[in-house]
Amino acid sequence: MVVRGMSLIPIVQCDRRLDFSPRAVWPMAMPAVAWRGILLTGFERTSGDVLDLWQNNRCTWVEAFTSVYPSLGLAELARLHRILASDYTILAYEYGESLFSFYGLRWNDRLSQTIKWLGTADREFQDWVDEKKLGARDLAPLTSAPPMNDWLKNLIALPLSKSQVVKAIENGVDLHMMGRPLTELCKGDTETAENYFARLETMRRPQTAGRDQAQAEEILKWPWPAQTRAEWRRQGDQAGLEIHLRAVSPADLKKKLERLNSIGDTWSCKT
Amino acid sequence: MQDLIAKFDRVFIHADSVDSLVAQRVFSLFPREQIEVVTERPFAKSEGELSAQEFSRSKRMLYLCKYPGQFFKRCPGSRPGLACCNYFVLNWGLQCDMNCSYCYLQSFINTPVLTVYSNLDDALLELEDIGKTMRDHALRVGTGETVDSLSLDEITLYSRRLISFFRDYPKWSLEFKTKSAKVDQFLESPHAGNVIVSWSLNAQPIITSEEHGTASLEERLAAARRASDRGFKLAFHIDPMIWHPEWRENYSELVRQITSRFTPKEVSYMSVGALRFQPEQRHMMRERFGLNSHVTRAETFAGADGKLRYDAEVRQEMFKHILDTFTSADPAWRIFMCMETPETWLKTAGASPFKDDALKDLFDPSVLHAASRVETKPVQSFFT
Repeated sequence: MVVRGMSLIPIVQCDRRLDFSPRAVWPMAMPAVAWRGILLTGFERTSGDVLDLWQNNRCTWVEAFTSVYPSLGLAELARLHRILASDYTILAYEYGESLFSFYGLRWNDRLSQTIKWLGTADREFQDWVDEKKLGARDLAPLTSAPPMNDWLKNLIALPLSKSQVVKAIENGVDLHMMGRPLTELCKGDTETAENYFARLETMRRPQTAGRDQAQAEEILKWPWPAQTRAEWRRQGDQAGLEIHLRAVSPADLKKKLERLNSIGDTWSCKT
Repeated sequence: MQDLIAKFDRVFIHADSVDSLVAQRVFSLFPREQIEVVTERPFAKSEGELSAQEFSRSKRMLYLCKYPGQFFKRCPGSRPGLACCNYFVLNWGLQCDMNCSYCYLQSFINTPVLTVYSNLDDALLELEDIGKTMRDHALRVGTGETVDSLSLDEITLYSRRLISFFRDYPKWSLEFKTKSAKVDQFLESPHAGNVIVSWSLNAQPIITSEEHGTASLEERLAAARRASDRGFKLAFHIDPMIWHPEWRENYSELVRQITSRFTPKEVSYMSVGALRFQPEQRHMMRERFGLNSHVTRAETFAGADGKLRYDAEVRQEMFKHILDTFTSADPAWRIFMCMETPETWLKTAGASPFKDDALKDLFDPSVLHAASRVETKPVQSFFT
């Protein structure tokens, strides 16, 4: 068997750079990678050797690119798309769909809209999108909203989970499109992230929140047995009473259940 | 008719459908320069999730082609956990020329054209086949699920062929469901008294703000009167009820309009339902209708089936209002709740539909079971 060594070329021979500012730095221990003279990695380097994958194995651009970037965030793809669309239109035209398909995205009007919107967003926001692993659908509300940069800056500083972030984006966009000024939508100085998240939810669904709040206050007035905790809680489209009860003996349990039964009657009268 | 024709920018006819009756009619109605014969679906590159612009454009592009699959499907409501009627669906098209803000087609249409299937004969053959085992069952077949049954009927004239077919199956019933007032094209058709023309009705302020391009309440009720006078049965669906600050007054007025013009005997049944939609649909609605709509502003929550709905208590209040208003006009009105859980039935009507004598025949599980034996393909995923 004959093993052919991979041939390297000096980096100066790569006159074009597909520098889309990937978040991960290409390891210094590896030569930079190029395809037909277009530098795909190691954009910060000014000297050293480059492995040109096309010269070595005649692979396609997508094969070369995806082998060095097996996973990318949506914002990284948005930056890549921006460069392809402006400087490498032939590559974008020929390989765009298969490139996005490699990353699990179907190229269509809706994705194109989101990618274009994200490609022009602040870099800080873009990095946050990739840190949180947000997808095109998570960002969909923002593409139909007027610019909300100040609010987004405020949002990305908060310690919220991904699901909270997605919900907050949707509520924030809806409220802004319903006429609420951005200043009203930002977190207050003394407000915790959790409280802020809950406030957005209450602002978006004020009538339901009001009813739930009134019910929560009402049940506090009811004569609960000792060692019983009752809460009015919402689960999706239904709200209801959640009761935690501690009994220390069968007699105690019986007594408490009787008391709960009488509370049931109180509840029936109220509704 | 000219209004309907003007709704379309282009008409595409697949080469395999050029000789169909519906294509011949299209050739006779549309200017020739507007029609293009094609060998593949137009905008072939647009598939998967449509953007808001693509969805809106699809309403202006009429496409005639053959449907290669099975026409006959069972109603999406008939699955565990939801009380539903014995309703079977015959989809002869996909997409609608009208434009309701809440339309559920926004959540699953992935073709960039308004499609009308040219091979209605194949659908009728399927029905004939089903008839071999189910001729004597009280089967209900509706055509208004993925397309409005009648809004395009002046072009297709499918109503006439279906009415004629159902003359041979007097125990079956055919249900058209529409938000249009287009009935005159079939009123002269002889029928077996088993055709129900049903209207999706709403309070006029909701029609104005949310049901764009549809007939007014007055037009719909006038059309219903014309159909009834010709012996066609009527059904009304107050669906979706949409919460808005004046909902009580406006829905009371709707009930008044209905009860002052029709007797309970003239209306085979009434259904009510409240706003509901798939979660992914909200992005499309926001983009297409903004937030100046009672639908996009609605306070909705995920239900057990994943769809977004009003709070259960709000739904019960709305349903109860409708039920009470109808029964105070006349207790003989028959009303059922569509796409609702048994819990809502119990809390609103005080009984499960399976236990209500007046509604039992609409919810007879034996018909569902008999029909499921003739089904060969599961209901498509967008129904679940």
